[in-house]
Amino acid sequence: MDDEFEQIFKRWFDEHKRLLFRIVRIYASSLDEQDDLFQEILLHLWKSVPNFKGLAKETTWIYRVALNTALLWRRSRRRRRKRFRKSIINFEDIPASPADSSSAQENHKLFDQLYKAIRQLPVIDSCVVLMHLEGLGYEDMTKVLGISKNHVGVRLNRAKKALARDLKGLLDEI
Amino acid sequence: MRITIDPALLLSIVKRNKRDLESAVFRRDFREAAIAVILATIFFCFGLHGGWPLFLLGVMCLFVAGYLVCDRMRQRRKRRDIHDTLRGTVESSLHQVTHQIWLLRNVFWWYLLPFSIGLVALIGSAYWDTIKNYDPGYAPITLLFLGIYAASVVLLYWGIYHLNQWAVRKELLPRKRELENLLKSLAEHNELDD
Repeated sequence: MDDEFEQIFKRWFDEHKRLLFRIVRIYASSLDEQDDLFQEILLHLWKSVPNFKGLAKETTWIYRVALNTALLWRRSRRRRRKRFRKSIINFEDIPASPADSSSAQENHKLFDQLYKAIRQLPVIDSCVVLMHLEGLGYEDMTKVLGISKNHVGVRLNRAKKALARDLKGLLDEI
Repeated sequence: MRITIDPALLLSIVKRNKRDLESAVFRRDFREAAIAVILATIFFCFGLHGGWPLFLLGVMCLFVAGYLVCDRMRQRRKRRDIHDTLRGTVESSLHQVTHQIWLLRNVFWWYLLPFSIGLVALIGSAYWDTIKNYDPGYAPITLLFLGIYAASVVLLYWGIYHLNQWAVRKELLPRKRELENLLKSLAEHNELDD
């Protein structure tokens, strides 16, 4: 049974690691915090594997675990966790943008600014934007957040306007 | 440059983190229960020679330990899983924090008072014995010592009570506000659904 859970965890990580990196980049600012949040998300993901019965979509499940962990994560407990944890990942080494894009430097700058702008949004708006960027539909977003489709739509429109305003200068530059 | 992360290595680290966390929680629970049981045993043993107040203290130790354990088990059962919706998880966290605040604000009733009953019985009984078998050579010193002991206990209680209230103000109330704001932002625009 443990082997089966391990296979599921590894597959989830392989298929969704970019999503996890994005969530960590948005909800934790320093490299230290990003590593801590990343380990917290992985820990909760691993603990959740035995409870996954296939009734929900895997993406919905992973989003729920990762976003719930990120939003309820407490920076203040980091020192306590550090006592028995070592850093495992340096987010500086992980490219913010897809590695095989042609205009890598411009994309890198855009993605950095995008994460920064998303971080400035209200918390729920940032969740909605993140899921929208990952291609999730309204139905899936309601299942992750526990709010209505209408509410998701309002949040997304508001967030798009705020991001367009914040990133306008950068887009003009590029 | 493409970064490769080995999922097997990552998983071994995650499993180690899980083991460490579970072991830390177990050690904390075991330590608290063990201290209560050891104290109760000591009081019961001394009570065989020292009389009923020490037995009472032992019983109070077990009461406080039992209350803590039962409360922790009840809260654990009520907790929602991390894979629930965000709204469900936030509601559950808010409930946990509200309960913690209640526990610490009422620390006098379930933690300090039970011990007080035992200590009052012990000090009162010692005081009564001293007065009943008054010996001019020892009684004044004994009474002074009992007075100092009682005053130290009151001071300690005052410290414990205020430390718990400080924890409520400094940690728990800000956390509660954070969760309430998160829940409020999830509930906004509900009038649009009507």
